[in-house]
Amino acid sequence: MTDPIPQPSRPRVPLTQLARGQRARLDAGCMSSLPEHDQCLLRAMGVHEHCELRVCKPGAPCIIQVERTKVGLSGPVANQLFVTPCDGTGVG
Amino acid sequence: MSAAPSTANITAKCATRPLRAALLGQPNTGKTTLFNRLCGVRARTANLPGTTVESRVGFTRVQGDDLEVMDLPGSYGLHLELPESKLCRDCIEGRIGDCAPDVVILVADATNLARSLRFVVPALRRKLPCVVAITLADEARRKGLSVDAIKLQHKLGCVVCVTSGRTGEGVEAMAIAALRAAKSGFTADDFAQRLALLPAHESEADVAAWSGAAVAESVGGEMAIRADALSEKFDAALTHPVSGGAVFVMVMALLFAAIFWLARFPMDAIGFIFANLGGALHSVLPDGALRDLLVDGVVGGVAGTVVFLPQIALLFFLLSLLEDSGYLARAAFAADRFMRRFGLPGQAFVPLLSSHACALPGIMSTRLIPDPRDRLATILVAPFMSCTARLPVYVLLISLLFVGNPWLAGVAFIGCYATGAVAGLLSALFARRTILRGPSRPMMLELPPYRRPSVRSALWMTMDRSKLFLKNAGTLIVAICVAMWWLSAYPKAAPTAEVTSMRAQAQVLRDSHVLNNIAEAAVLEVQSNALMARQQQLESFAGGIGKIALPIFAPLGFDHQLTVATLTSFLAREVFVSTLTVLNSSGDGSDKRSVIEQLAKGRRSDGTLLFNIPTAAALLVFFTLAMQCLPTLALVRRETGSWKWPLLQFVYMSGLAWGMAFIAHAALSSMGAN
Repeated sequence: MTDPIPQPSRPRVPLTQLARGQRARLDAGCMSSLPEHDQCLLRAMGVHEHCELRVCKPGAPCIIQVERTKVGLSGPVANQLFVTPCDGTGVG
Repeated sequence: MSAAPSTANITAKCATRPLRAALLGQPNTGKTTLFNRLCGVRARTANLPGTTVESRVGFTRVQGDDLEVMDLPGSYGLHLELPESKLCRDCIEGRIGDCAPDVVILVADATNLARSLRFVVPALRRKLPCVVAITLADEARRKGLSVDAIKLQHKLGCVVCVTSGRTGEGVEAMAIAALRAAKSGFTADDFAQRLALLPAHESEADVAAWSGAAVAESVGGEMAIRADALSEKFDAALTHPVSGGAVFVMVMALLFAAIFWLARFPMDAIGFIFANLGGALHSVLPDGALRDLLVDGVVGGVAGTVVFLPQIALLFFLLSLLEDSGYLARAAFAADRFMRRFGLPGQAFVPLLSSHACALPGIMSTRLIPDPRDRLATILVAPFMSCTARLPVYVLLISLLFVGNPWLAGVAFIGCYATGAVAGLLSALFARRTILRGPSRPMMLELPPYRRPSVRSALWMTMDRSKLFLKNAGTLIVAICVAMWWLSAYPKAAPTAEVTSMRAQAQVLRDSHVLNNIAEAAVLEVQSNALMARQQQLESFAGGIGKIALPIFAPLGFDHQLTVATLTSFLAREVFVSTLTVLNSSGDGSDKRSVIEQLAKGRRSDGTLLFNIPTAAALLVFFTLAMQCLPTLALVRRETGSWKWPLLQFVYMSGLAWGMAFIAHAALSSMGAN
């Protein structure tokens, strides 16, 4: 019996490091560095932990798409959000 | 949670008022387009019943019954601690005034249903009769999405109607469903049945999971994230610091060019109509106080304000189109980099832009700014933006300063707007570094999809705002004009020796029955009337008030007429021109010259011209910077919850205006300009 091959854990990167068109999942707890009311507003707009997002425009402002909603984030907010790129997409 | 109205309560309410529906939904979900389709011309911007909170309220006729509809502000969630969320919460729970709705129409976007349901579900957990309106059905179909209303109805436990505010699809059926829900009341059993269908807990995770499942069951088509290359290219260009900034400047230039050039023709027509109306009244009515009151007080005063209606209507129309197109949200990001230098967030851009129409909607829209310090700074500087009420004064003074030089006049117009904007931005920076010191909150904003703007919606919005402006002109401004006419007409001054002599001379010439002498008599009569009018100004109550306040404004070159007109303009700026027209009236209502022509020839009591270059320039600077609007001060008090801020705003802005006007007057006088 052989040991299963350990899966490398996916890299966790700031949202700002993704390239245009890349998809990623927002990491759990990554919004905790934002003030509480900003977290609530982001969640109400659909940007919640584990949500799948797509980068429409990298940089500042960073524009992401979650479900059918596009959200513009200023540089400081995008820098604080950590994501795990989805399969088949690397870090830009 | 509020108790649901029982059928008996509703019957009692119906005896005194129509049943009331509240439209509740997130921003950019087609809520206002739906409202406009429902109410059309029967809508108006008004305070919510029994409150001082402004909202759009309208009526729709459904199966022979009137249904009152309130368009509540868009809110991302009822639980959020944002002003618009609190307002929606308080309104549907009946905690403000007499505006508790009998039914709530929950607006959900068909193209983004999962997110909409996350908003709808917590609202459905309140004990209120509800109808869910799925909006933007036409847009959803174009994207290959279809919503099964029956399946969704079984999931949500209330009537679901698929609608499109743009095409009118399903709107009547939704209104009928809302009326029925309001009429039939809502029992504890109904509520229990609905609760049994909804997620057991209100936690975000539970609601999100439940909403996802509901969408999977009831929506046909691919809901997953889809790339739209063209839209993304536009986003990149419009939010880019260089290209976005260039587009922004171009859009603003086109906006103002349209306002000043296109509005010219209807403005001329309105001026012509009022001039002829005054002339007609003067020739029909017998000589006396009533004729003077109607011709000089009412017609003359209202003409000076109503003539600016085309510009106001155009501004609201174009702003509405821009907002509807999705551009304004991108422009906020383009503006963010620039605004941050002055301590303001990009979201402050829309309120400050709206303040160019009127500071009231501008200040109301600061509710979209999440940070309290940012919001307060924006509220404090919003009245620096040149609102449309300043336009009459700008038009008058710039026309007097740059006679026959339209290019310089155009530059001066832009200069006035730029001066107001620069003063506002520098004041914001000053406030954020002193009394409102603290870190800025970074920006995050939903970018709505690009849409072909609804001309119908923009027209209704424009009509609504124009009606509000005309109502103001027909009430407050007429009242001020009548009061000013009375203050300037009484007590009646006795003719001076010079006037008596001129009139006697004219009589002798007329009695000679020689044609040349009769013409000379007419000239003498006009001259004596002008002299008498100046005497009347001096000895009237208004003249007395002007003399008392004159020491404050004399350093700016004002005489008692300009002082009185400036004092009245502290109630509302647009009154300045009409007050001056009333004060400067020669009593000869047959004068068909335009307001500007009349005032350009206006004289002071010492016979010199009312407006010389240093005085006109000082007035222009004063009006560009001063805080002269009672309704704005009242609104700032309401929005900030304290008199401290409006008082500070009044003292700071008016003090700055006086100081800058003094400098302008002194500089031009020392250069010998006259």
